[in-house]
Amino acid sequence: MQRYLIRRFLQSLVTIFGVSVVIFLLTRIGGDPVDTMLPQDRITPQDIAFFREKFGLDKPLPVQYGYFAANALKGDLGRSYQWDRPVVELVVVRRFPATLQLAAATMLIAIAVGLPVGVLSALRPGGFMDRFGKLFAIMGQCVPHFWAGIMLILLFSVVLGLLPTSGRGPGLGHLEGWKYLLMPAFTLSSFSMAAVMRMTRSSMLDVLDSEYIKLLRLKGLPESLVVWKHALRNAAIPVVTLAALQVPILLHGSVVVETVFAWPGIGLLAVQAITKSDYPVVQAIVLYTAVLVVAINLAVDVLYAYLDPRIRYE
Amino acid sequence: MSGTADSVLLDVRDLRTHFFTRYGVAKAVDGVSFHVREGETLGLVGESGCGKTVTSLSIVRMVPRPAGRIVGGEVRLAGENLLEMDEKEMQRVRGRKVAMILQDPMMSLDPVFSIGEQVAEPIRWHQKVTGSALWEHVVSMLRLVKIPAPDVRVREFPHQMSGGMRQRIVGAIGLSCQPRLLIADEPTTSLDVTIQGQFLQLLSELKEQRGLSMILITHNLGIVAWVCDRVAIMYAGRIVETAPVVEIFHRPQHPYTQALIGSVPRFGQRVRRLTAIEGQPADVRQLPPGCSFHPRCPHAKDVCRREYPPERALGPQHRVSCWLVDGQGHD
Repeated sequence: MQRYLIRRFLQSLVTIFGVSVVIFLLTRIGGDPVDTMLPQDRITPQDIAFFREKFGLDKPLPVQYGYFAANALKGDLGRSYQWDRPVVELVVVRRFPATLQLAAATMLIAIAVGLPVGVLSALRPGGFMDRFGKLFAIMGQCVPHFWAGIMLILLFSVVLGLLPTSGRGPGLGHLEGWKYLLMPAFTLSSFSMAAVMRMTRSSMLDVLDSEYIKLLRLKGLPESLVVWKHALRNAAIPVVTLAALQVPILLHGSVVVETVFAWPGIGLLAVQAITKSDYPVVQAIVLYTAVLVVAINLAVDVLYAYLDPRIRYE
Repeated sequence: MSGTADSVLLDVRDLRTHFFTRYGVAKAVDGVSFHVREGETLGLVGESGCGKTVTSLSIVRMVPRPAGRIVGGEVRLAGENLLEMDEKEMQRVRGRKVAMILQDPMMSLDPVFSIGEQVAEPIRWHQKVTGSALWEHVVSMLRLVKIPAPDVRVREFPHQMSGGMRQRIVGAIGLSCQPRLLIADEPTTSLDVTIQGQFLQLLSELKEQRGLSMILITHNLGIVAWVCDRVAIMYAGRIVETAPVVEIFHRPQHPYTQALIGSVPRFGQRVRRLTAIEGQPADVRQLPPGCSFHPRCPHAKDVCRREYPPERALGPQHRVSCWLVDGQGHD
């Protein structure tokens, strides 16, 4: 297990290196900050030269990457062009926690709703819960986030006046802060919740049909123990894979959802940074996201070994 | 039925279990009556699809729903009718009074829980034993079924064990709460031949030690001759002949029983061809009128095609349902 983890950790470093190269090049293909940052009507060639020199954009690309990588290893991801602030402070300290909070709440809702509904659907295929779950799942996967978000705002904020329209509010320390989290998290969770629900249902149906479930019932165990202890533990294994795969999809969806709800996370920041070709900010956001996804994948592999004793890493 | 004697443990009367499918009603079990005495082993023998397994699942009320339903009859265990119990009461019967061993040991154990936990569960649940007493009980059960190094093995998982060992663990689970009846549904079919013998030997020993009654479901007449006291032959959802094991082999009366015994190769006898039973096994969705066996029976008469034969007693324990058999037997 230990050797496996070390090997996986080294592989992760290679992945992150690859991501850093790709994102470095992609931002530079995406646009020139000179065009977006400087006032185009009263600009001199000297201004442009000064700007490029100040941010090191006059050097060849490999050299630029070298500086970027060397500084990144020291924990310095540069300064934002548009806000003139250290990127680490901007992205990690101010924005990343908001996105993590949203992502965690989203996963929690997706699993807390998707898992039990999936199990109940499998217990009575074709029953009320199964039909309701199916309808809900189809809607969750088809309705785009921006539309669902706007409809929720219309209903709960404008018509009913129950929840705030946007922003992060005073944080989760206050009861009021939770109200701000509710709609964005629910909107973002609709897709993953549907996926978890359907996967739980089909996985559960397979397990419930197996011989060992029959033997458990023959032992005289109550149905609650058979379903929630044995069947669910077995059915959860593919669901865990699926949930882990949802994390990148979810971070991707957060760009739209954060924009709709003005949630101050990296999704919203990414939109602002990309439209201004703010290279250091875009690089930092993608890099942190990559690290997060790699870390979650590693955590899931460890979780597997716990859930399924047949898996032993050499 | 002679099921009035006080030594009768299980008394099944006129059991009917039907499956309601899109293609019609399948009468998988259609009027089955038999009994098992204390300490007795009954062999339930027949071709695949004749209703052996459905009979055993009906006894513990685990017929696959919603298609399958027990539509009639009585199943009395020590006098109590299991078919009148609610689900809660049945949970106290399963595992505690009636245990069952399934056909495929490779699939019978939950892959993600340890052996110890799976043996411990019914003991903890039925007998409310916990802590180190539970642990000791589990280890002693594993020792009973001859698992080597039981105190190490309790911590292991099913995938770390061979098929024979897994089947012995299923046996340990079955016996853990000292049931009075053990139903073994083709327990050795998927085991290696060498392991089959060991497992049957173990079952017989445990049965003797614990005074257990057993129903052994099989299509292997060799196993029947070795392990069983009495045999019930099933065909198309009914029992066509029942007799002590010696009687069945020496004086089979029903043409189906005769054919079954004729299709077994015997050691030391040179036979050019084994007698196969002509035709296809009966389809329980579309049974022929009269005796279900008549389309395959070499001696079928007119009456066989019209009416199902009544059961006749040929001796104190020998019963047969066949028009060809008169009260005195016809050999």
